[in-house]
Amino acid sequence: MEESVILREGYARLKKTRTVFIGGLLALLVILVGVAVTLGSAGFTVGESYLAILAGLFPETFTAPEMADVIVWDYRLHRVLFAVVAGFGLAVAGSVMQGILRNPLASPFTLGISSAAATGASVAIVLGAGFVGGEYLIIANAFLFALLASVAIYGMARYRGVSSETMILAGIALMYLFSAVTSLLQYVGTAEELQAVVFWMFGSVGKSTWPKLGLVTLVIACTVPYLIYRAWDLNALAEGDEVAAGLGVPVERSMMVFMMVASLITAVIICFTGTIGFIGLVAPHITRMAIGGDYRTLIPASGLVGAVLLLAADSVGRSILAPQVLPVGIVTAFLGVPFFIYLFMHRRDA
Amino acid sequence: MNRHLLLAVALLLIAGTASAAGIPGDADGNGVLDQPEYTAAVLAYLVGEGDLTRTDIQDAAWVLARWDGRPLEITDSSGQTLTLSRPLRRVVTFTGESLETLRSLGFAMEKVVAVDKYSHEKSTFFPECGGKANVGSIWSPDMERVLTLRPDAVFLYATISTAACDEIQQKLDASSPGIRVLRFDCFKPATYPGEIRTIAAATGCEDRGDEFARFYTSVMDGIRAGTADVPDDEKTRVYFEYWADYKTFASGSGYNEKLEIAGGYNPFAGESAEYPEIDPEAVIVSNPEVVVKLTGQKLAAGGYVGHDVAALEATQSAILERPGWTRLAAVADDRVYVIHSDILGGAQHFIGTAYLAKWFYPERFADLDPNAVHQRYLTEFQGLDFNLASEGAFVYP
Repeated sequence: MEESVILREGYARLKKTRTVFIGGLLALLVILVGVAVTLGSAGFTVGESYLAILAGLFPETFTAPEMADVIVWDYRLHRVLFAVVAGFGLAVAGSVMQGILRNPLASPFTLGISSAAATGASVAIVLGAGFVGGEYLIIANAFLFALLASVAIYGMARYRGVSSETMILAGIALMYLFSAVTSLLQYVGTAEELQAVVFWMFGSVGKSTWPKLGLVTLVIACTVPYLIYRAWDLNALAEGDEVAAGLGVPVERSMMVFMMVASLITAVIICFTGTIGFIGLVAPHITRMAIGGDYRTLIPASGLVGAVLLLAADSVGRSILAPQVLPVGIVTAFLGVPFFIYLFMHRRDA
Repeated sequence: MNRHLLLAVALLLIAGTASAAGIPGDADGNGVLDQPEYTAAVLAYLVGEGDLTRTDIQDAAWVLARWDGRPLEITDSSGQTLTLSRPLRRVVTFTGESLETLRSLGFAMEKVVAVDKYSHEKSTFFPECGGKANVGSIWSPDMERVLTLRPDAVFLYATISTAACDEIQQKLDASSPGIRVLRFDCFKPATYPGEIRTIAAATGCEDRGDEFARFYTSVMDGIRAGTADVPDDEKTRVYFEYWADYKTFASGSGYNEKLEIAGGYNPFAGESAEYPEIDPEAVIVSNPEVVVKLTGQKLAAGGYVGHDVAALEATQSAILERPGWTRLAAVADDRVYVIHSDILGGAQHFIGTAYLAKWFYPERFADLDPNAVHQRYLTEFQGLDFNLASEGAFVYP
């Protein structure tokens, strides 16, 4: 009886912690977006930036200062929102992969999906070869190679029997293979092509546009509710294949579906941004340390942590040496790793 | 017995090295070949005596005729002083710029026995190199191939990729001290005229070297003179973009140096990175009067392969279509240009610099015809049968 009360109290406390954590993250994200849209080299004041946003929404009522409308709407706003959506998606993908593979090191990067995307981009840059031509060559290659990698992991795992170990081993093997192909392409490429590959691999949200933002948002809007809907299956899988099977979860099929969904989210983001490897690995860990591993809240909360991290990193990258822009992949690691290590060192249950 | 054999081999090696290092025919070993020594060497060769080969005699004749019987001392761009006792007969180039300069000087291309992998692949620009040995790149040199070719000189960069070039030089110095390592950049406006003359002296191409150096300096000095009196605050404001969008050049980069020689003002010259990525907002706010976009091999078509002007046009269109750019002075005045890196980097930088000057100050450089400069360079100095009117694509419009 007493035990049940303690459990109830503990759960209530956890619920409160989750509400505070998610509420706090949402508030932080809103504030960050609010600040980020006012940051930029054009030197507009906070008022001018918001006036430009309002003028875009209500052109009849508000008039933006000269150039502010173009700069805020065509360069700044979609970049800020893209960072939010991309950070959200990468973190969700990472949390799903860590759950189904029951491995804290699992992420789109360690499973070879990012490496495959880099190889796809390199094939486009160095060989000029790809599935579609023109300006979408690099994007399409990166996207398709990323999906190809997850299909290959699936194929190998199916052959050997789907388990977290086979998928991780297949993923790591693929990561090394794709990295070697990229290195080979860099080796045969000209100095200019080599630089182009390196720049792509830095990761950046600078290439965002409204249509790209729309596409990524659409994919995330379609997939994340599904993942949250199946959060109990993820919870069961995270406890082990036997536990999940005992609870009636179709283990193999579920693992593959989750893997494919996480890969799709990753692919659609990194084909536009290049390699941003850190968010998918760390955002879920930070969230788990704060509110535990229940996927019903872990998925949205990880997404919010990822969004905050990526937007903060991009805003710092745009501001710290303005008008220079530091690639977000670099800044993310500089900001996120110390924070992650701090949490890791100071929490006993980490 | 074995000791004697080893000693004999060692003596032979020492003798071989000594003869390779000295002037052939210098019988008294004083480092100078005089007329009697040369005559005696030739007579001995003709009657089948002495140990000089036909090549030795030819080299001795060269040293006597061109270097007054003395070894030639040259100082390369890395500051090292080298002594040449013979003309260069077997040359390996690890840099396309040195190779191109050797060709500008009229150096016999059959004496270049191997080239770097990038030059090897440029079948349009270096058609004679397809059949030569490929020694890889400075980052991944095929040292075995270099050594088996028994070169007497290897060309490397002087001031860029110094760690990689130093390593190649150290390996060559350690294994084959007879090989002369010559280090030149051949792409820097400040040092190129001097390098032309030094390489010309080392290769016995002084006359042609003079002619080429005069051609080069007439173009570059003409540009400098044409922009010298432009006050700083009246310089043409230029946004100069790398092939990667919104990546530009700051001071210290080679491209910025050329922009400044052409009289341009780069609003981002003061950035800390040499190739900074710039916030698009800052570009719009800087409101450039001229926009120059660099395009490179494969990343966008153009250059010496094909005649794909449409690709350069597409690059320009993509820039014109950027949101908000119609309000830029450069776009409003139709001053958005595309230039291929082949003529702005490397040994051909003077051609690209001429285009920049013409674009920045069309009135001041009304008489400058960069296309004619380019064509003359290709025909007269590179010896290429290449018609710019129907081949290649380097600038747009």
